[in-house]
Amino acid sequence: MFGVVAARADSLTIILDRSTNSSELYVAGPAETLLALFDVDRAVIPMQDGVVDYSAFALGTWGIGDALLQNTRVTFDNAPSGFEAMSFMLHPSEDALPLQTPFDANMAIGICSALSSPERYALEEMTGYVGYFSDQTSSASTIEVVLPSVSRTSLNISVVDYMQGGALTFVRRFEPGEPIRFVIPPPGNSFRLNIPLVLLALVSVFAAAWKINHRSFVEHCLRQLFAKHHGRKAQPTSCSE
Amino acid sequence: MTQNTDRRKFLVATAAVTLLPALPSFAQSDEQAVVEMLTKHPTDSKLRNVFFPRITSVQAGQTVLFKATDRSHNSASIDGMIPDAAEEWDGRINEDVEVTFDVPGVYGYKCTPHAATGMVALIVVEGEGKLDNLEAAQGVRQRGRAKKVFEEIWEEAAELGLLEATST
Repeated sequence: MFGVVAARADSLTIILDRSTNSSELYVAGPAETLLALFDVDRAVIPMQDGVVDYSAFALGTWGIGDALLQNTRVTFDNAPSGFEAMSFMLHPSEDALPLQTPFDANMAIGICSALSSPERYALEEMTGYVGYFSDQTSSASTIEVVLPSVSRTSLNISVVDYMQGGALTFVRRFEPGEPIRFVIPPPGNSFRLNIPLVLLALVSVFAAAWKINHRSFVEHCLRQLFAKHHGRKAQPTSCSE
Repeated sequence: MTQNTDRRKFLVATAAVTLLPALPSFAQSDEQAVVEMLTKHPTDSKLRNVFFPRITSVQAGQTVLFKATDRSHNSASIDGMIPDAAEEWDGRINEDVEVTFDVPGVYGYKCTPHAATGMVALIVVEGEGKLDNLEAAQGVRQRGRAKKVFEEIWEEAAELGLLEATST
């Protein structure tokens, strides 16, 4: 079941866009790495004389996107995600496109002026961008992604999880031989976990500060009292300065 | 007072200039309607790969010019989304195409390479029986983001009264 990933590249970017009535998933990485990680034969990419045949892209490329996802499992709370491909596109790796937001990703997957450009590239020189759409919301779902491959080399997958009002980014590292499976928690969980921790940390800091000042004050008073009682001049303390 | 009046006029003019391009196109019977094929929406920079406007209303017998303003787009009818008696069309990428709509009805169309990313739109041809193919058109399965966009389009067309038998 598990394919073996070629050791050429070691990173993928995943952008997840959660909306209240739909979900979008974008994946980008060096073309050969994408094909290897998703366990898809490179024949799925139209080629002619060793270079990518963009003319075949004019009819739409969602077939390539669907092929990429066919051996991969993506679930929302353990139920099928319903993702289907919108578009797949290849751009020269030497002109890497910005890829930080769903908007960037949506731009990258669009069939562009490459259709009428004379420039042609081999697959090894290209970065692949693919986008998927589901009419199911994932705004409160745990998303699990299981790729049909193991990495022969170390692999970093950067995940940008967009939701209403912001994004969470994390990097998942896979060691050689490790099955590529990861979970993206629901957005609310992050806040439920983090806000109490932040509050607890703040309270602890304030309590510690108060305790230190309080101790200094008591210490200062005792010193004053001691000095007065023994007729000595009190030493200044940090509290009295 | 004069200053206030001038400011009000300026605001009204600005609003008109800003909002008018966003409205659906209602072509008069003696003029050609134009739909631009764009990579970037003219008023909403977050929308890419769009027909503009995405809803067009014409009278039977009128012609629509699909203008290849930006590259890598075409206009093609969607299977099952035009009236039975109407002719399909399939424009070439990067080229303008003119289509005359003789049969009343609703017409769903797409940009072939960008359909699944949501580059789809609607033409409503006014006349007798214009709603005859509505149910069939709404029942066509859409791929990817086209589902979402068509949901918005049907809702918008209904709000505009275009999906009422009496609209003209």
